Amino acid sequence: MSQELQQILDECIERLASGESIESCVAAYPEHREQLLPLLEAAWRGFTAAEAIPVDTTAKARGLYRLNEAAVSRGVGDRKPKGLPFWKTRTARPVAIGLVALVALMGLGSIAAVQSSGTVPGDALYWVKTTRESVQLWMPKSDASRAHMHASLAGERGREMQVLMSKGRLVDAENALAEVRYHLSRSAEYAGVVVSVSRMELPRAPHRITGDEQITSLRITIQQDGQIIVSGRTQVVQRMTPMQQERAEQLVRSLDLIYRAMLAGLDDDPSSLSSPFWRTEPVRSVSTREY
Amino acid sequence: MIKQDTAEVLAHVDSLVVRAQSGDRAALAGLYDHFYERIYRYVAFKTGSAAEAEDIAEEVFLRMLESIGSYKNQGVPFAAWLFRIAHNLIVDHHRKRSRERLTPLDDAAEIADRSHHSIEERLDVGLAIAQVNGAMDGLTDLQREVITLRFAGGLSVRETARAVGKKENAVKALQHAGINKLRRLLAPAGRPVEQPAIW
Repeated sequence: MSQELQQILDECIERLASGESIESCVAAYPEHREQLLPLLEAAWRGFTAAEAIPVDTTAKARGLYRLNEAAVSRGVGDRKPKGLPFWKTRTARPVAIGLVALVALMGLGSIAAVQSSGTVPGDALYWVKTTRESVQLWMPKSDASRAHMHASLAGERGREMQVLMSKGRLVDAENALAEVRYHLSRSAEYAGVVVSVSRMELPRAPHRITGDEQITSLRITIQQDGQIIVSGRTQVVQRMTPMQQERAEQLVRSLDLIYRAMLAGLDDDPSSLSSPFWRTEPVRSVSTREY
Repeated sequence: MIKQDTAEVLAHVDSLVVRAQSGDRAALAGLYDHFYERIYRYVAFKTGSAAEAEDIAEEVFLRMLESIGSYKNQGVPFAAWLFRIAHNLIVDHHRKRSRERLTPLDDAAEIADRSHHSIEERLDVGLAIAQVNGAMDGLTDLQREVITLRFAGGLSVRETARAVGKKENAVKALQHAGINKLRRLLAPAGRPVEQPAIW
């Protein structure tokens, strides 16, 4: 194998990785076309097989949670300054310059954050939004605040699910639904309620966060988000093919169920869960249901 | 395709590493967010098990937390350092488990089954992974490692070279030989390796 071909193959692989097609790579080296084409096709299949491996977003979120727990238990981020007061140290000036730069960056960051607020998975600035959320989740908070935070994130993922469905990206919408499920279950955990979609599996548990006001406020957030997301489905579904409509309806029904289970858990009233499971008549239109 | 890091992203990763080393938890989260999927796919590609990939990927970042204070960027990019942790954990895991590997198709089914896709889509994903996984078995250990780091881990040639402890030219040669062997071992696109009875 010639070194030249190795070099060309590597260049083409880099180009494939940056979004170019096999044909455009081969066209750049017509004298090597015969050898290069089958190699690039094999490489392409390797790339696409690796990329096709699905990543469970819930497992990813769980891993981040455990990393955070481990960091907290190791005291990461809890260090306190020792020795001279900061303003008397030699590093004060560069740090002050750094702070000014940081403020400027935060300004830019804020602009990016605002611009990223309406993004969905696949958008260029979506990572800004998720990173901001991750950071927010890492901030020390009370259980009640964390319950609210996760409920808000569930609402956000639900809104993204709507947008993704409206774009016909149903697989991504299903991933968003999995995120809704994750965040609501975390919210329930912090609120101290046990949530299940099965009446048989719904033991009663005392609320861990104290104060009816907090529970009421959490309930209002969840109720409003659930209603907005579910009621918005009519517009979304209208533009779909019948097969897509069926799948979208399933997604919305699942989301509706998760929200209803959460509300039942907060109310400590499993009876409200029974109707979607035990009845035998056809499922009614989601938008007509009430929480 | 799994994209490699641009120079701008690499600089961002380096700044996250410095912040994480000084005890910034948000920077740790940033590193996790940046590398999780690539580490997961790398481990899944090597172990063939979604459950093992989740466990090992999680452990990789816990090890990262333990050791990041001692990491020094002396010619070894952070990605190469992190993937070396993943490689070592996989080796340890296989030693502990010491059982027969599942067949490629079983592996692929388990991985593909974690997706939220329809059965038809999962079937396609499973077959694509099974075909490549099956062909990868015909490569030498080093060829397989290079191809997995490049395809699933999204590492550059330079990062791959540091991760496997070889020179960049050697990595290019291994990559060429590995892809050439894959080309011969892979069934024509669209033709399954065997009938998928597991669905």
